[in-house]
Order: sequence, then C-alpha cells, then structure tokens
Amino acid sequence: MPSDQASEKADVLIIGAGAAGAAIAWRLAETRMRIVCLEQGGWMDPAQYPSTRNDWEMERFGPFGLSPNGRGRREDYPVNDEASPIKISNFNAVGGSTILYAAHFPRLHPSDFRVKSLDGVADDWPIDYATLEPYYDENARMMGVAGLAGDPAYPPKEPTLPPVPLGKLGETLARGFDRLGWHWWPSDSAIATREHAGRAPCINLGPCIMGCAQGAKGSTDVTYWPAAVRAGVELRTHCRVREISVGPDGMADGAIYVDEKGVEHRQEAEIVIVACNGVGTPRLLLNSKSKHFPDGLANSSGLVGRNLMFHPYGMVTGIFEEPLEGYKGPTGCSIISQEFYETDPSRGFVRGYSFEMLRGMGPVSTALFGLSGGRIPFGAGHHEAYARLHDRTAGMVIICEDLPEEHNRVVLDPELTDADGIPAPRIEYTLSENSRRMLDHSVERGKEVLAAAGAVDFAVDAPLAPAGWHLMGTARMGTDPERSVVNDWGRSHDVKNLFIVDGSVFVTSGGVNPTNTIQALALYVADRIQKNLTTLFD
Amino acid sequence: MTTPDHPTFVALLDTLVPPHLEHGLAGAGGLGLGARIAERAAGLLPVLDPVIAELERHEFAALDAAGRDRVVKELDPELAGLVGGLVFQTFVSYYEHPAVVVALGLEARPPHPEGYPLEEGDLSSLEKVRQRGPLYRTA
Repeated sequence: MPSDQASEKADVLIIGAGAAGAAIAWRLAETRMRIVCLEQGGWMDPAQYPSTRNDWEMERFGPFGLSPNGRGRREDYPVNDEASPIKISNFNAVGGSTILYAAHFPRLHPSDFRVKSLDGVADDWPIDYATLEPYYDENARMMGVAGLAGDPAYPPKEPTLPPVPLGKLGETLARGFDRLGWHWWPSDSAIATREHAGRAPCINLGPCIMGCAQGAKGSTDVTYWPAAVRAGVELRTHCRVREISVGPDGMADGAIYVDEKGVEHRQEAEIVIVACNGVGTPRLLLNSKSKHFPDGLANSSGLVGRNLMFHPYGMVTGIFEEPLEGYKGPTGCSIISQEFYETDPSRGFVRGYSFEMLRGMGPVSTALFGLSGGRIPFGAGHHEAYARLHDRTAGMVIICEDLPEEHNRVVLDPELTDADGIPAPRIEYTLSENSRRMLDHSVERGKEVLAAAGAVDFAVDAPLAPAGWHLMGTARMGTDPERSVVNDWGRSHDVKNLFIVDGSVFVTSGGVNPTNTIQALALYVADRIQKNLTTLFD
Repeated sequence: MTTPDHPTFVALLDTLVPPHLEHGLAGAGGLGLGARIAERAAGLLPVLDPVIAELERHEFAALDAAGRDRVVKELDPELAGLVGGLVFQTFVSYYEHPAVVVALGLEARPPHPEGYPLEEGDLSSLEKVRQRGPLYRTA
C-alpha cells in the first residue's frame, strides 16, 4: 500500500514527460484543468552534455549511450532484449527519448494510413492524413521544424524554419541522387536553424544524439515543457509509476508511484493519460493487474504488448577519396530520399523505405570504425590506413517499414526488475521475410547511390542492432475492441477515462521516424478530449 | 606488475600506434597515453601482466619497430585477446589527444560552444526533383 496520503486529486494525470506527454500536457493546459505529469527521470543539464568536453565521442558508450541497459542511470529501467535482433534504445528524462534523438522529423504519408486498402496487408488506421494534418502543422510550430517546401514526396506543407545546411558532405551525396535521377530533399528536422521561440540557433556541433548543448534541437524539455509549466502544468520528476489503479467502477482512479528515495505515493486523477512509449506503456498496463483487469489494464483484446513494430534499419557507410567535412553539422540530418517509399510489387516486398543521410565521423569514431571493420590495423601501416578514412566517410541509414505481427511483443520478464522492484519488459521479436527482403533491396540501392556520389568502398550493417528507438504498435488504435486497445482518438475501449498517446497506438509504422506523428496524435487526442469533455466517459 | 610507465608497456603502446613521422608526432607510448588508459580503464593494466611478461621474454623494448610489430602479431590467441582490449583503449586515447587532433587538421576543442560553420549547399538541382510531380499515393 502507498506509504502516504493521497496527493490532491488531479483532473488529468499524464504518465511520461517525453515527446507525447509534453505535447498533450501543453495542449490541455489551456483547459485550466489541474494537470499533473509524473516522469521517472529528471531535468537534463545541457551544460553537462558531451559536446562540451574534449572526450565527447566516447560518451556514447557511457551515460549517453542508446541502450538503457548500459547507461547505469537509476532513472532507466532495464529491458530484456536478448530475444530480439534489434535492441531497445530510449532515454528517461524530461524530454524522454527526444533528448537523444537525431531530430529527423518527417511525417507519415497519406498511404501509410491505408495500408490494407492499398496494399492488402496489415490494417488501415481509423484516421487519415487529413485528420492529422493540422496537428502536424501545429507541432511544427512548437517544435521548430526546419525544412524546405515543395517536396513532391508529400502533400504540400510549410516548414517553420530554413533547412539545415547541406555542407560539403550533403552536397556530395545529393549529386549521387541527381546522377541516378532519384528523389532527394533536405530533411525535415526539429532543429532551430535560426533563433526560434527562445531557442538559440544551431551552430552545427555534430553530436545531436548525445543531447544538444546549444538548445537548438527540438527536445521537449526546451520546446513544450517550458510552455506547459508556465501554463500551470505540474511536472513531478523522479517519480516512477508502478501501476495505474482502478476504482470499484472499473475506471482508472490514479496511479501509484515511487519517488527517488523509494517511497511510494499515490496520485488520484479523473483522467489518466499514458505516454511511456511503445515498450514502457505496455509494461505499465501489464503491471496494472486488478480484480477488474486480471490480464492487465485495457487488455480485454489480449493485444496489449502485441504487434510490436520497430523500423528495421540498415546502415551503409561510404568511403570516399576526398575530404567531406563530415564532422560538421547535425549528425542525423541532412537529406532524405523517398525514391523507394511507396509499394512496387516488382521489388519483391510490400511497402517501402526511406534513406536518411548521416554526417561523417570524428577522429575517435573513425579509429573505432576502422578497427571494428578491419580497415585500420595496429602497428605497421596504421597511419596510412587511418588517413584513408579520416574525414572520408559518409553514412546513410535506411528506415524500413515494419508490418505488425502479433508474435512480436512486449511481455513482463519473470525475473528482471528495475531499481524499485517493478517487473521489467522483455522483448520477443523476429524479423519478417518482408523486412528481410526490403533490407536487402535497400542496402543494394544504398550502395548504388553512394557509389554514384563517389564512394569507392562500403561498410554495411543490416539489420542495425542498436536501432530499436522507434517503438510502435503495442496498444494499437482501431474501431473494433476485439482487434485494438484504444479507439480512434486514443481512449481505451475498456476504461473510458484512460488514454494512450505514444507510439503504442500506431496501427502501422510507415517508413519514417515516428516522433512527429506521435506528437501530432497527442495534440489530436487532446483536441478530442477538449471537444468531448462533457461526455468524455459516455 | 604493469604500470603506465613500465618500459615494456610504453614500447607496446608505441607499437600499437607508432610515431607519425610526417606529422612529427610521437607514438602512443611517447605521448604518455599509458596514464590516460589506466585512468579510463582501471582494470585493464593488471590484466595485461602476462602479456608484458611474454614481451619481456623477447626483450621487447630493445627491438626495432619491425621486430616489435612481429612479436605482437605472433602472440598466442589468449594473449592476443588481451591486447585487443588495449588496442581499443589506445586508439581512443590517441585520437582524443590534442596534438593528434591538431595534426589531423582539426581544432583541439569540444564542439560547444564555438560550433562550426557549414555551407548552405547548392539546392538548384531540386528543381528537377520537383518537376517529377507528386511521388506519394493519395489514399
């Protein structure tokens, strides 16, 4: 039982202060309801980010690594991902995984919402692109999205800020696409390329994926949260939710959480919103068993945790003969290509993928890349081999659409727990034949375009093991309560005052980074909550 | 016992990353990276004791560069495995060293707060991309 008396009841309790939790908190703040958000991490200090130190490159193996299992932070919970070729990457703090993301900010395409109708696989979403379009626009203003209008891969959209500069590397790679006549476009990036809403402009530090010391990257600790807190949202940090509690009527009535000293508390609420990502959300729901919900909260369909989708990633690194100045500029954002995004049955798979061009490597990363690939020996010949790679690499990642399969899932590990003794998630995932074929196709096309840009050698890693940073599908949206967990506006079919707003609700994954869509969905759900407030629980 | 300034250990570091004559740079041993490696990977040096003992058997520190290179590359697999961990740490410490970073033509400073200038780049070829018309399917 909780060790203290209930805190003052909230109108809305949000669990998780990442991409989605921040957006919905800000959007609901205008209702003047009492909103409390519980976040298991704390506020990050940008002055402590690796790019402020000379040894910044090695921090990716330490406290700023991608895997929660290797960072040694109490704020993280462990994930047993041994039974998956793709390992979980996330971050727990105010801002969630946006602290470490590359800030690639594409939207889903209209066809991504109609996968069943167009291609005969998976399921259609219960909403469409047009439904989300105004929320994408609103999110672009709040997050500060750099880009260039006119991309023929999308319906018309207007970025808020000028595109991230190509630099010599981006320009070199763009020439490769031009030579093949393939689509490319400057990336939509949540990066302030000029001063925006109090954020300093990007100065091309490079390692966005270890936190942005400049504050130019759109992580929600510098975008939504300051505005939400100013508007009256109470954000309580270092509070790890153990379970969502249920009243005698079967409605959610709050949450039990543990503070950083290990003391349990209870927060009551009229509405509970879960925003813990595609692994953390099913974990919490499955940990919230009760008399009413013996198989976990909101799980009458048995689909909580199932249909886990990643984006199987391929990585192709091209080695060039000319310096590329690749250590300058946002590491993950320069140009994108969606030449192979839409289905073409002649390719041997359904659906498609995006290419996203990366920048180059710093001196230490170059050495380790060469060491691991056998390109840089120790001893005789070391310096000559190093010189062939130094500032001569350009990477690309390939984001393949993953289709939902029920056997890919998140379950509770029978033994593993976090620092507070709460059962941890275990991942059961296999790569489908469709994904395998798509990866093979994409890697060959990736090598082709890098060669067209001037690359003389390649290193390939596919599927990229540490690329489990897009976590989707584990509490899917739909109109049929037997085939989905939440309805078309994020409300649980089983518990009418319980909402889910993270990547869990995705019906399909598309072949692009999901953060923009996660946040657009959160804004859309907030709007629907506001509009339906008087009949919310009917 | 292996210490950061043990002559055989220093010679081993110089073998892993030799002096760079063109850049006028000492090797990893000459740059004194042993201490940095010991600081970064505290448990590594004691593990290397049998490697150092084997190298001393070959009077390693007295060999020329080619001789040292040969001895290290002919270590038995168990000892070579121990050297593998040292290679990783030596590469990291060497390529973080300010003198090396400068020799590579870079500035020996963290990225923040100065950052880097970046060319906008030529976007003119996008006109051809645009002229292809919509690539997306309407749903």
